[in-house]
Amino acid sequence: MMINLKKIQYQISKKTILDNINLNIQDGKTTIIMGKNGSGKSTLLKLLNQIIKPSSGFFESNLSKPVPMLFQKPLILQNSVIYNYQILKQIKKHQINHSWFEKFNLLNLSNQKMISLSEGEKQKIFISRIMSFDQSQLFLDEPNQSLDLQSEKLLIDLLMKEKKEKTIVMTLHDFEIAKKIGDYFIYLENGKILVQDKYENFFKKFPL
Amino acid sequence: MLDTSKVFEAIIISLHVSFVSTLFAFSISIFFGYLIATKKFILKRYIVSILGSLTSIPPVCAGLIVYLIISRSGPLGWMELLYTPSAMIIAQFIIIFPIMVTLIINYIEREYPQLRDELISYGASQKDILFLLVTNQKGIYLTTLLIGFGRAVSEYGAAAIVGGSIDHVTRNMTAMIALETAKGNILIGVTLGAILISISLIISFGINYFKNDD
Ligand SMILES: Nc1ncnc2c1ncn2[C@@H]1O[C@H](COP(=O)(O)OP(=O)(O)O)[C@@H](O)[C@H]1O
Ligand SMILES: [Mg+2]
Repeated sequence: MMINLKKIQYQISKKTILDNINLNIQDGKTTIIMGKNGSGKSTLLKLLNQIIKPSSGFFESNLSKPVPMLFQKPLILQNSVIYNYQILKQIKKHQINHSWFEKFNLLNLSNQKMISLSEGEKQKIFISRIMSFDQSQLFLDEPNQSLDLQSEKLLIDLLMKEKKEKTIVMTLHDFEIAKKIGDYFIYLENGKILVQDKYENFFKKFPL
Repeated sequence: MLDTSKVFEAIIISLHVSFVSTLFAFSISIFFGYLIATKKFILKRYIVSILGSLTSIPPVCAGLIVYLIISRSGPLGWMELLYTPSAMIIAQFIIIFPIMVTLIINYIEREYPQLRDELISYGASQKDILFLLVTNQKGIYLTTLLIGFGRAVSEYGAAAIVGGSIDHVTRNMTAMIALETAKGNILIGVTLGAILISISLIISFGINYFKNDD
């Protein structure tokens, strides 16, 4: 067990955003969080990574503090691509792993202004930035957003490799991709878990 | 006749007083702006709205308040600040600080929540976050500086009340314009006015140059 939640509730200004969440995130497994817009996926992901604290309930994690995560609306600094990419290194004073940056073929964008890139190009920088830290837990919020089919395929291939050694928690909309990558699935609706199960059972309940 | 050495003196006094008051107000605005925008505390909304209404304080009133405080019988009378450049700096500070800090609070309140979550996940300290807030949108800070300086250097009433328009010491450009015009030396007034506008434009162009530079 890596993260354990019991009867977790999360509220912002009296509005309940997550309600009665009970779940275990398993070490070394890939957990996929799905659900409609506004169902609470991003909030749950932030809560799992201890960016936000639950309003009530029991929370336990074997991580002592948040790890760099991919947000739905990631940080954009008014500066060059390379500056945005290396900001993590500047803060963490950590050796960085350039393999994703290279595989996404981003080197030729290095000196462009971050804000001048297309959404898909930005997304590749954001993913590479998180992956450059080479941590063994990954929290990814809609990592495939804005990517073209080819880049999305590359992302899936790369994640399939990472998944062998890492604990991954990510939100996704695409059932096909979820099926390929996931070991364990959570479906949220209005801040509650509607279904959670491992591969075989989950997709029986969602015959798509 | 236009005495160029006097004009030069007035320019130096104007620039010196306004640079110091602007830099002072700017540093304190960043410090308090950051604290006010990022921390939750009681009375926060009240402090923000008081600062907001102080942005339109009439300069003459600011001058009057400073005068009462630093005049011989006032609480800070013993410091003998009245009719010195320091008194003008204090008065200008009171006029421009609310404007600058309000601009900075607005900006940080908008920018901070987006930056914070991700930077916290990176293990960034408060210092890292502040550094990135300041360096990320240099343009906003440069504009704030420009607005503060522009208002300080062009202001007349407050600096005249607490500075006293003393020749060689506190007679800045605006005081000299008022004085010469009152004496009927319209040409000198107009010349000084044109110089004042040129100085503002040069500084404004300089700042815009930096803004587009990054
Ligand atoms: N800071 C916030 N303040 C108020 N409401 C919020 C905040 N963050 C999220 N919400 C609300 O919580 C709900 C879930 O949001 P989110 O977790 O982003 O959903 P999802 O990622 O599934 O689209 C939404 O209704 C959203 O409006
Ligand atoms: Mg989301």
